[in-house]
Amino acid sequence: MFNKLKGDPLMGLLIVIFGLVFFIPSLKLGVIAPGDIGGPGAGFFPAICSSFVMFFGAWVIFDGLKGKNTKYFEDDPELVKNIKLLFLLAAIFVSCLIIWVYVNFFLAMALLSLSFNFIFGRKALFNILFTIVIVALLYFVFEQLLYIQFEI
Amino acid sequence: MFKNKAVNLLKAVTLGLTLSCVATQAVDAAPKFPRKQIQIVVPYAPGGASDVVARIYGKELEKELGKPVVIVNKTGASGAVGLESVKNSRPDGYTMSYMPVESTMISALGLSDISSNDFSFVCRVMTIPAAITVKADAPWNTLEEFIAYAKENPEKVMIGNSGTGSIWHVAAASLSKATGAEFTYVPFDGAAPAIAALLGGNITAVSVSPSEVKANVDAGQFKVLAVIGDKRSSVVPDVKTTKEMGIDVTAMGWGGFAVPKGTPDEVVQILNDASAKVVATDTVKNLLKERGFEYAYLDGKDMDAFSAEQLKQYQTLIPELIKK
Amino acid sequence: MDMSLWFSSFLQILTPEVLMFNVFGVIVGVVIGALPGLSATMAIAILTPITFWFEPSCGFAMLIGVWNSAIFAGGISAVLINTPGTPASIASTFDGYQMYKQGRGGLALGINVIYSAIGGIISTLFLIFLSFPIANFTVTFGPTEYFMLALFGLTMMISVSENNIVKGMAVGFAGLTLSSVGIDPILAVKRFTLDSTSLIAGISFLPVMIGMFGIGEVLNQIYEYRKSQEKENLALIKQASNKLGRVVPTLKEFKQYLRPTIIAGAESTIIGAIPAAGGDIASIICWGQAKKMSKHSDEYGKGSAEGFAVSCTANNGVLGGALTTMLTLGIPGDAVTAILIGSLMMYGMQPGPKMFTEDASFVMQIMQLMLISNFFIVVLGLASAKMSAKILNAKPQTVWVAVTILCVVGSFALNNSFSDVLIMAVAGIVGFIFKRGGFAPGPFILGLLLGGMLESNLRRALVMSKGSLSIFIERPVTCVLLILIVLTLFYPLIRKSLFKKKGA
Repeated sequence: MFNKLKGDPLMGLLIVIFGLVFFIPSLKLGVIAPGDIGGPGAGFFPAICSSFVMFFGAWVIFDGLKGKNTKYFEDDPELVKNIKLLFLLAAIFVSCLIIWVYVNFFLAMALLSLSFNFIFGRKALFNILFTIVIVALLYFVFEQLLYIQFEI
Repeated sequence: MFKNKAVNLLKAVTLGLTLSCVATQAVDAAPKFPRKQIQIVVPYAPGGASDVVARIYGKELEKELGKPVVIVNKTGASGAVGLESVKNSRPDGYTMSYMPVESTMISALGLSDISSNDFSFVCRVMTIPAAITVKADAPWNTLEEFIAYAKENPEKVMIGNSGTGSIWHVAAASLSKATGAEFTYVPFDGAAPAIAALLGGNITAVSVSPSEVKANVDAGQFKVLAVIGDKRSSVVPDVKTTKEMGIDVTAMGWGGFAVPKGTPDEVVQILNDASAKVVATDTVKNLLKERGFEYAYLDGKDMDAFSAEQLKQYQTLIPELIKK
Repeated sequence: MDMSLWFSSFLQILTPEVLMFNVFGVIVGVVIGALPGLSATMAIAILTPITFWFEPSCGFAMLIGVWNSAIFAGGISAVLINTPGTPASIASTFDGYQMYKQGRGGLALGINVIYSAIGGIISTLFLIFLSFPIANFTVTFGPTEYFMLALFGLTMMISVSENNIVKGMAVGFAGLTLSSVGIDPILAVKRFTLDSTSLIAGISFLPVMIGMFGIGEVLNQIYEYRKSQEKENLALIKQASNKLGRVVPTLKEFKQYLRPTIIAGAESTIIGAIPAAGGDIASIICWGQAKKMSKHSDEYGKGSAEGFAVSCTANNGVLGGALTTMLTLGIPGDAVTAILIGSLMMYGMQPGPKMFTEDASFVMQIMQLMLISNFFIVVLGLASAKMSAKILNAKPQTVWVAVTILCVVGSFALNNSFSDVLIMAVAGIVGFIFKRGGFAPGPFILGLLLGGMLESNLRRALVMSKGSLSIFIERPVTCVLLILIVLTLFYPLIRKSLFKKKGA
């Protein structure tokens, strides 16, 4: 049974859970209008929409179990390696966001650019030039010209 | 070899940037204000009336203080998002906020705990009264006739406003409370769609400000029945206020500027003095006039007192009017 | 229309100064519009305070230039990196990016330039000749009509579900559900906000769109990239870029697109003139209608140049419509026209019916500036299309890093909000998983975009009718729209049965 729970059935289950997460609080918000205001209450619209989400989520599970399952990630070793790469990139991305919040935005973006380029195997010279161009663009166009304040 | 190079480079860049950060912070500690650019947070979308006022005020403040002033829009939740960001910023005078009347209403509406008490005002720039506006071909020519009709036909009269809990909604609800007439309030997503709905004949009246209906009044499409405020509006000087008609309601919007509480007194004083000059310039006065706002300067101290009073008033009034 | 006044005001704006400001505006607009997250509204809001010190004609030359070209340029990033630069170009991603992937990126950029300008010109002609009839019709739209329009837009969920309608509907309703996060539009109570102030404002649509289309696509490309085939890939890119040569469509293609684009131009002008309906819903509705009516409807969404031409026409066609409402009624239909009204007031003019008599020559100048801006867009756009196409020569890795940083900056710049950056990042991961599982992101985005309009107008209508549903059938325009929606939904079935009868 657990074996079958990958691909579409798993995704469908997540969709049903998503629907439930919204459906239950919607009922508490009140589906019927309170007092003398016409029309339904605050929970009416999300309750309807989330029940449709659950319905179609269940349909996705059903289709998947019936054998029309989609393969999300290939078994090809080269692509499996890419998954690891994605996790690495995500980790760097998150650390750069932390640097942005606690240190400096431009430093964070420079580090993001340098490390991504490095991981993608670009030449050091290209990497440095690219980073300088990007940071300069961010500074001059976005901060100086468009007055966007990146410091939080 | 290559890795080493990259690591060294990273170190160099990190060091350089950190040093420059430290350097700017060290300069900040010096006493004189302002030493760097000032940021004014506007809790509404760019292009709106309050945004334009803040931008013009910023331009003039820049001339006055000699340092750049930038406007940053942070929208959402009746302004709570922007106000909260200012409240949580460092109280050093470099982050100011545009303060709308909503700053005294948000806590009563239950949107956020933030209120005008979390700020020290540096000035009030303007006030904006509410008004009851109907189509020009409507059968009522005075507020009395309008109220009489509403009393005969309870809940038949549909009054549009710019959102539930907005100051214009409070204005219409206060009128209903004072006169006993029962209205149906139709909240829209801003004043403009409400005006469009009145123009298209989908609702009976709007309770937004005279400045917002000025174009349609001038074009002969609308007529203003009454101004809900202390003073007559410069946009429609012939229209009586509710006070003059013997109905004791006032509801008006206002706009000012403030810094977070805890900002050093001398910094607040510098901004206070600068604002006094800025608000008195012709550029600001002309802008207010063109936009149909009432010039109503108050200095920081008076404004602190005024807002505290408004806060108290809305704390009791809003739950009564809206949550029923 | 007074012809002599028309010519005299035209001569007044034919000065080097005015034209220079117009060209400057067009250039600024292209840059800002092409960067995802920086919208036309923002460009105009930043430039407006500067224009207060100009002559009215110079100030408006710049603002109108920025407006037209920012909307047009939103299509450039839709083609190149699958991320609409402005919400209005959301429909451009359906076909534009596919065309680029098929090696027809040059043609896509060319079509974007030409048909954006055509859309702008068609709608300006409507503005010149039919402004009052259109405005008097669209201003009567009330909550029930807006509800039907939103519903109309949502029927396109099926068209953009790609191959799997069940999956499309599942994510589409998920998008609708998410649109209800924030303050309730009628009762002003908090919904699903988890006590976070930034969630009270709701989940903004642009960061989600940027993340799902931009970052989602980058993640998928990284995942599918095979290092072992690097050389082959590079060769493919070179080959594709050599094929980019043709930018302008052929005469035959032009003829094929003529009918759908003219219809789209007219349709989008009317939708644009409806006070609270914007470019996003106009381009979605026009694209969906053109798909239903086209002989090549299977190609729509898979790189159809015709579909792309329609969406480009539609997003610029909205501008003339928005100007119609603004000038004739004095009501702003969107944020941009609200700012323009403010500028007019600063110049001492009051938009509304009176402006057509009191400041008639300036009204004409605004119309003429619309036409001139579109002329400059064609000239500058075609000249730079080849250059933009050259950017496509870049290695995919370069694009990945650049797009990642632009998405971060774009989602932040929108509302100076760090939580928007987080929303963008999460949307990127969700978009990637959607892509792997064959879930089309289109319906999700549509749901999130139109959910607010659908819900608030449904409930506003019911507030007005005291909860009675009859308000939806009492109003003639609502009825017509309802019938249209039903017909659109069943049109494929009707057409099939008709063909069968002919066959038999």
